[in-house]
Amino acid sequence: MAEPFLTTVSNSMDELPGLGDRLDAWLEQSGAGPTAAYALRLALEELLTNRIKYGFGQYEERRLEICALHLEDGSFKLTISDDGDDFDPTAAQDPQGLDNPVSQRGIGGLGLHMVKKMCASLEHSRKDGINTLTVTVLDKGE
Amino acid sequence: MGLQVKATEKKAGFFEVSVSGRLDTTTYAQLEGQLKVTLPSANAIVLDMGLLEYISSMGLRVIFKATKDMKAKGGVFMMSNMQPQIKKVFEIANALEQDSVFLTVEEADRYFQAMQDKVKREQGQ
Repeated sequence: MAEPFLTTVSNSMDELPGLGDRLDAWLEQSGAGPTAAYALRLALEELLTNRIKYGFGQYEERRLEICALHLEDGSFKLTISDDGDDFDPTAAQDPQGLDNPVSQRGIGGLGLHMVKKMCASLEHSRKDGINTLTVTVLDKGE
Repeated sequence: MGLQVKATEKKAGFFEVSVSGRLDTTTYAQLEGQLKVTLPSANAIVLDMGLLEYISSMGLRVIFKATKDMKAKGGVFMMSNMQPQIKKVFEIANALEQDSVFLTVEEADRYFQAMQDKVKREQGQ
């Protein structure tokens, strides 16, 4: 098992490219299959975007802690923790109208839907003023 | 790794826009900007994704918007060469539509040509 991936970033989307590259490198080292690696990279982007959008006042500079673990059973766990505002993305409604043709539906709101579909679980918790989002991703090696 | 976007007019009104790299929250504006330039003079746009490695919800948003905008002006927005990981994302979004997803740019071109011929025949009658 590789060492855990652990880092902190500020609440700015400018952090995403560098952070994503570092997570990619760690996933490669951990031997993650392409499907699992994709799911984790997507979860990182969508959840970080969600936190930055809803978790902080507009001009506050705050830190978020990102941790990824490769577990004994081969699955991966990614957590994003911060002391921003409480917001539970798991309670968000699924996007409407997905049965309609693309030309006849809304264009947004798919981020969390994709995370829920591609990851085995998505959980939100709040304890002592700390929000934590946790996703688990199974790795079938494909 | 960022995103590279390149647009070519293959023939009058038929544009190929190829994307390579990552289409995400930090790069989507590049594609959005290119489409804004291409759209007014296009009857058909094929987005070639052969070298696209990653797409997130912001990428889907730009593509869905272009699909709607092209349809609204009576044109078509098509996609080709989706790699398996990208295809899976479209599958989850329930956006793999038969008349917009093709294996190659040439296949999309033939479909568009056939549609135009059909319109011409119908107008001729």
